[in-house]
Amino acid sequence: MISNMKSITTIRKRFISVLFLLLISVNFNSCTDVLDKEPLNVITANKQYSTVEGYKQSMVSVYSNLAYSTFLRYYWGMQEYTTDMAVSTWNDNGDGVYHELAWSADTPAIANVYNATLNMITQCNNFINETSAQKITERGFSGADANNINQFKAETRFLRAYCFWILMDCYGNPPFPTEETLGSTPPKQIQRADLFLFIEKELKEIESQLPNVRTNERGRPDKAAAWALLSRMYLNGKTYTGDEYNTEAITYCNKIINEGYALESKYEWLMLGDNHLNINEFIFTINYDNTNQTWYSTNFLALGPAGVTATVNGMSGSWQSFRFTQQIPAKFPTPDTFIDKRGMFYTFGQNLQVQTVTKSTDGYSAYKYRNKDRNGNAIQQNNNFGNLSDIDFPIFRLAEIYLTYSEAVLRGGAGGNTALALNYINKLRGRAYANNPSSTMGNITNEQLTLDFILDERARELYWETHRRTDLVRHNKLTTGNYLWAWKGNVIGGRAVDPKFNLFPIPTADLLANPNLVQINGF
Amino acid sequence: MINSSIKNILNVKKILIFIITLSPIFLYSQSISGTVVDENNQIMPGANVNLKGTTIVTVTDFEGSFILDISKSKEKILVVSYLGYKTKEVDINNKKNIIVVLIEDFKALDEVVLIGYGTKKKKDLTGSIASVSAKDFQKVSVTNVEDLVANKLPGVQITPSSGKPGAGSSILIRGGSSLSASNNPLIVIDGVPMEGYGSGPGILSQLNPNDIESFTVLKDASAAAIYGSRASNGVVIITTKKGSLNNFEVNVSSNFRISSIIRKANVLSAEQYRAVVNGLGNSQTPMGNANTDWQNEIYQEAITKEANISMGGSYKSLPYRASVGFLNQDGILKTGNFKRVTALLNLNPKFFDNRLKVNLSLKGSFEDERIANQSAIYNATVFDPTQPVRVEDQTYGGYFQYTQFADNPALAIINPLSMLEQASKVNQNKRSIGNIQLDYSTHFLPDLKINVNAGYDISTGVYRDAVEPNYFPNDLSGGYIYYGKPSKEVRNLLFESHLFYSKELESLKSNFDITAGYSFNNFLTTNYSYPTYRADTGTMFPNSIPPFPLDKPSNAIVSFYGRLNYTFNDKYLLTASVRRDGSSRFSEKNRWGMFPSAALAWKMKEENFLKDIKSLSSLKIRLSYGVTGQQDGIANYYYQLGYNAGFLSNQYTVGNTPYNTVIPQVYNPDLRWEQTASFNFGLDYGLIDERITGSIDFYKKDTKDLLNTTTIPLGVNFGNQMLLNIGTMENKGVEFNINIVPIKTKDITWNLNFNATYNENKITKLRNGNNDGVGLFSDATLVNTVGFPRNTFYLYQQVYKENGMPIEGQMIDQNNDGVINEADRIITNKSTLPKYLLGFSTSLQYKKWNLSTSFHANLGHYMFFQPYNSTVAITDFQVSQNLNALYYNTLFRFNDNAQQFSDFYLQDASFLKMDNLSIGYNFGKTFLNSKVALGINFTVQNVFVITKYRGIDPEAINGFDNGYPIPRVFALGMNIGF
Repeated sequence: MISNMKSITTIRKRFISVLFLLLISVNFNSCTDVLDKEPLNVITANKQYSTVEGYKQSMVSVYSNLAYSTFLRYYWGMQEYTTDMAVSTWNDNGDGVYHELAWSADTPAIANVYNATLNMITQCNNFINETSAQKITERGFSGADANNINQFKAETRFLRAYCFWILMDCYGNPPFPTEETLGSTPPKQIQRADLFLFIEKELKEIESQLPNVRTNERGRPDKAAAWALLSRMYLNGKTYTGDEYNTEAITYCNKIINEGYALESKYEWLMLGDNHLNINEFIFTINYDNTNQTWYSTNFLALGPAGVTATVNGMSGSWQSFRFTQQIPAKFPTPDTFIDKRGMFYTFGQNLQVQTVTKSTDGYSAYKYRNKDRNGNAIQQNNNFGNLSDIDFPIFRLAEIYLTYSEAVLRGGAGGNTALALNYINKLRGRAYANNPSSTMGNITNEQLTLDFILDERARELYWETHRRTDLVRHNKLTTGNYLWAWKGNVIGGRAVDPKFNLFPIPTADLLANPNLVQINGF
Repeated sequence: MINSSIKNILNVKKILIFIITLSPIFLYSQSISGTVVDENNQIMPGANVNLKGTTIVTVTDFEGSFILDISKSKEKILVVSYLGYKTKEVDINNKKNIIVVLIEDFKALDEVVLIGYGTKKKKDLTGSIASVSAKDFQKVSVTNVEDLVANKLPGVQITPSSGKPGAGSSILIRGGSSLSASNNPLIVIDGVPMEGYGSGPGILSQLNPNDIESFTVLKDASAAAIYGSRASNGVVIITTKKGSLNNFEVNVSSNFRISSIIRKANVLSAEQYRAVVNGLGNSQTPMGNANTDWQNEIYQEAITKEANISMGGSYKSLPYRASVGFLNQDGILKTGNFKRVTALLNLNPKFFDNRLKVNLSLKGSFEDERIANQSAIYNATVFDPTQPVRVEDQTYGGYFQYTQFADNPALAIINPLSMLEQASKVNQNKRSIGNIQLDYSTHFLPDLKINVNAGYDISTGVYRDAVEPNYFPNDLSGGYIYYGKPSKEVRNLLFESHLFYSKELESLKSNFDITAGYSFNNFLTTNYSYPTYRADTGTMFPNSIPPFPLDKPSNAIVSFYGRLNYTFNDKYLLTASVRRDGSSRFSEKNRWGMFPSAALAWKMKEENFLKDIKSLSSLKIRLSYGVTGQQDGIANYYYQLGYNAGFLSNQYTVGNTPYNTVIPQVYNPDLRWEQTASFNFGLDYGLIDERITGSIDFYKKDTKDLLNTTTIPLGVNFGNQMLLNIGTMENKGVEFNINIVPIKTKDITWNLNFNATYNENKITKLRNGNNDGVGLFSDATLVNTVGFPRNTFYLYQQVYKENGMPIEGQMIDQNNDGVINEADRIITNKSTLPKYLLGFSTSLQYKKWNLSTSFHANLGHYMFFQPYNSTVAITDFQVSQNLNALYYNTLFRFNDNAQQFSDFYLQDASFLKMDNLSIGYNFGKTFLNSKVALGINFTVQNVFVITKYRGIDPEAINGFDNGYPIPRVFALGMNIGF
């Protein structure tokens, strides 16, 4: 009996031993494949690029950075606060030094545009890699599908060229990441003149692959967008390379003008919440729609001007952020819209003279940007912020092309003539004075058409549209004593500053991170 | 619902009354009483007293006394036993009261210490292991487990991470070995390694300190390498108390604490502010007429109530221990509150002639936390003190706000009190950790043991974040409510098994053991996302629908490990171990890591030439080398390129069609393990019959493939920051520990512990960037530079006036080029890391009184203290803001760029803190003339700080002093046992 019991116990014990060993060995089987884990919601490249729609979505996403990154707001600051166009009440990211023309590589604000454009370039490079001939074939696309994808690629190269132009214009010798350096080595630095040639080559290469003028969707580039960028770059060619490119500028302006663009009849329509209607004049835009929640939208252009009230801007009261120096209203016949309808100055409670840079009531502002429709109704807010904008931002519009044409002719470019130049300028003035480009009101004579006049006309037409710093550099007026404005160089009457301030330095963080970079002269 | 039930249960008073009324049950008619003491007349609480041959048993109380009911038995022999002492039998015939003296049994005095996957006798350790068991815990009322061992462990820096209720501490062992990867040690609770969310020291806040049996720290690589890839920052092994076969005990403890702010930021009073503004002649926003101390408005005296009940014993042959703990803690920042209920059940049955040992451990916790908005702390230090707290106008709930910014409240600064009272964040978390461990000695090979351990860690959270409709910053959009139920679910699983074989070879004077095992850990979290609703109308915000309703981040680790222990002649010890780990966080080519270690120890005292030296009671030398790894701080899928889908609210429209965006994310296919190779040379000593014991350890740790989130050259990857294996770093140092028992008599016992650590941290190589240059920024003022400690300050040198005041904006032009720029900043050789850590604790026991205190000091670290000290905050900010009293030392007026990075603001943050002072009294069994023993204690925590630092806390983690201040706590505690 007892021994029997014992043996049962022994068997049971043996059984347990075996069970244990089994437990251990079962466990070994499932060992290494559990280490291959994939994220649930993250999309892999092969999945994203399995359809043409997926390619399109990815391309649109690259463009969305124009609206969602800090690009526009801080680019605007670099181009306007540094000039007679704007003084800043707040010291946003250290941009208080812009108007003083006294920045350094450590000024946080200068890194915003640098980072945003280089990030866009990186995403463009990635998209360009995913659209290589090999990948398109590998993924089984051919015929019309392959053509579509190649068009997306061309559109992405356009965006890359535009970002490189910004870097060339603002920072001189920026890093030069391409689709080949992506993911591997720190990009090399490129010299300004070499970058000029690269952008020129790129735009000419993609020209044939971009859709015909005004056949692409709003917010996507067509041939005219590439030509507009070329004409702008050529007009400033001397700044970048030391050589004049006025003939080339005229060539590309002509291409655009001959495609049937026309000025919208009213200047005040240009920067409204429904300005996507301006298809006659706008060549390429950043699109905004207040259901798409980006705080870095054109809302700062409607809310930022000091003093402007909610009933005027269609949003809420002003952020009191920026005002003009007194030099800008002085360029208009009167500081209002009675004569020149572009003079949309907001003067109520504002002093003309900027006595104190940070005092929000010193200096007129303007209500050019309003989140209203053409009938004057505020656009309904459809978002969590209650303060977002629907105003598209035109990177290129016909008026600039007219001004570029005229200036290039005056600078001695071939392929155009002064009669046409005068005609284009007078169209702008006809619209400005009479809401009618054909009107003779406000027209000037051939004798009045000088380079200085064009620079002032650009100020009147294109104010607060991110042109001013580039224009003053081209006219050698940004840092020199040739032209002074309130608080230039941080003195009330203005003063000349070191010519190094025609450029922004490479931000310290990237200079430290990328051993290939050398700081530009003077910084 | 849940809230109110906790409140009820937390009614400590009721519990106590209940227990006290029970006490008469324990009065006996025929009984024997007595006291158990050791050879030095030291009382011995917890000794086992058993009437021979019966089940009549008891345990001595705090005073070493006992009463035993002997009415039901004829037996007259008492058996008195205590671990580490020789068991004694006493004839009690005709005696009423006896004194039993127990003699220490030196053979048994082999304190067993936990090592990974096993235990070892303390005297046979080869690695550097510090262990504190329940009897040596801080005898003060604590809410957190780590407070039990604060200042008791050399080389272990335990810093409260915040004064927030329920917040844990950060634990840093030997200086930490990482840059941006985690510096938290691996925490193993009853055999379950914690990982992922809440795996850091924060996890300890979910344990009840009263349940802890031992707290062990594996410091050197030979000790920790058995945990391989997860052990670079050391390993903390925690075990909870278990029931015993022999006795039944109930313990109730309760305490009541009042916390209050120790030191507020020294900002200008309303009067001082007015004087400054009047001197300036203007301010951006007009002053008010009030005199408000905003810091007084946001802080309060906070009350904490805590009660714990535990019960241990055995049901038939099933030993068990169960406990429940309740905590209700208010924060010193108004509206903050933390409630916690913890429960624990340990069952430790043995089967088949004790061949199968089972350890079943279940822990549960429920936390309900209202998180006060900590930004209010900062706002209170800068809010204009002339403004009132409240106004008549109820538009914004009656709080003063800068209504001139009503259209863009983002430009304004928000009334700090409204941030607390009008916004609420509630986090509720249910968590359970459990495991079953089977340890089986096989029949077919008696020296072979098989061990299987299966465990889980699961939790479910609920999160609610809401602000009132009229809360100023969100008034335009009618407030908001975000409600996530569940917000998060964690399902982590563990399966381990190992074989253990030990053999004594007497002929060879050798014994050895081998462990070989396998471990599989799977970590899975489910995060849920929900849309946000308006608080006023309850309507959903358009486009707040998340792109995905849930995400399931997961990772897994598979490991194989082995260890050999070999002892020759009981004098020479060898340990060698190896672990191979595979992690799903790395690409296939970098997936597996190998982590070997070896250690030697020599028990010199056993040698003939030392044997006769009476005053030297023990001496051992240890030498070890090992490699450990690190993979914490790496996102789960970081090696894979992927595109993230944007929110519906972040679409981009081309033509008239909105598109969801897909944005490529930064990734690093080359990511590898961070590896730390450590040398350790140590010496353990004991003098004068172990009245003086201690150790000295010299160590050097070299970390390679340092993980660091680094600014990368733009254009290389998606983003300007990326986690990279960046370089190498070394830590070297000395640890010294001494325990002294100067007095040990019947009435008085005095213990002293002192420990000191010197640690030197240096970055030795950085792959990215220029090795001669500045290196890598870790924030605007801190760099990691080759040849310097991590987190070294990189600053301009201030120029001073003759009267010692700094000249605003004037820095030393280091390169004499006439321009002050980046090139003039210097690496200061001053870092946020302390060079010396000192700990001191002492306790004095006199009869029924117990007095103890502990201190710690960190020396040689620096902090950057830069509050507003320029009137630019009054004249040029959107809203005029208050200044710190530092203003009187600067009288600055501008916002100079270089001034932001001046070494004027760098301060020596060395300090000495008195962490606690405690006095206790044991009434013992005489209280209420029953078997119930009562002890009470009174404790002050965070008593004082001596430092030159002018900010709030010189011990703030990473030198950032804007956190939730650590409060001073007065605690009254009571402990009842029977």
